[in-house]
Amino acid sequence: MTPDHLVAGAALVPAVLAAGILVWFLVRKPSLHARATVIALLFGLGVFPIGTATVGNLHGFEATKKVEFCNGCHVMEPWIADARDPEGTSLASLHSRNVHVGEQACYSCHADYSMYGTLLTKQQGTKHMWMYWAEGYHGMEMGEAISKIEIAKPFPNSTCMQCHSTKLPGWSDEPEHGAVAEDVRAGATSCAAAGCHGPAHGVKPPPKEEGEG
Amino acid sequence: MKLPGPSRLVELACVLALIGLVAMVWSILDPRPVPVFVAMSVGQAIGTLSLFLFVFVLVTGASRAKGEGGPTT
Repeated sequence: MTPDHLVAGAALVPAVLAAGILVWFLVRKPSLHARATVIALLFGLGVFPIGTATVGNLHGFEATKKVEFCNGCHVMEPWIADARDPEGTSLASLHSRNVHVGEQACYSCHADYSMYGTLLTKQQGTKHMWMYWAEGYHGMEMGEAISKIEIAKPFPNSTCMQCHSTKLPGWSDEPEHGAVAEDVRAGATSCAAAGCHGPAHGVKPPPKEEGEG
Repeated sequence: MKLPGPSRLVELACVLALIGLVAMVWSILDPRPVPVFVAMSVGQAIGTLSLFLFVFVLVTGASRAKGEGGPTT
């Protein structure tokens, strides 16, 4: 049993208890003047559902960090496939093979690490859902999606520097790093730029079929 | 507009709470984008509304009983 299962169980138990109380009230229609009925309803409508919502939020927030969650929108499949490619050489593949990134690879690199980072990341995720369902990505062919989807804002070096501090000799001894060290730390030169370590993902549009375009 | 009686309001609260619970349980059993989004927005809003309805029934019942000088429940 994983911690994930335990959290799910902790959310489901109060939900089942609440549902039992609510169905009992709807079927048996006991008097509202009885103190026991009022107390039971306080648990069925308040305590237990609030418990389910609280633990459910925790479970939901953890779920949103997983690669499988991002893969829930079909247009993300090429990026996920690239990240999961065991022989891939893109930044995404290389980092996804790291046990500390692994199944949270998308979140590890694309989360906002600022003070309100968790909220900003969720806000961005909600915007992605809106774009998927309301702006046409849901019904979009993969080729068109690949040509349209791009990162919303430049990838910040501060994300890379969560792990690669740029302070160790192994990093600064590289002549290419030494030449741009301050620019890299200031974010003026992107680590993920083509020619440095980018592009981050090796996703390319599918070849056009004969007679197309 | 006349409000339904207390029993009807509590029944409505129970039905709303069951709908909210279904949304929340769906997201726990199937944590994909749509269920998680529905649970954290619609599900919780419906659940909160059901609790408010119940509290409303309790408060109005208590104030009516106070006015009549009877028991609060």
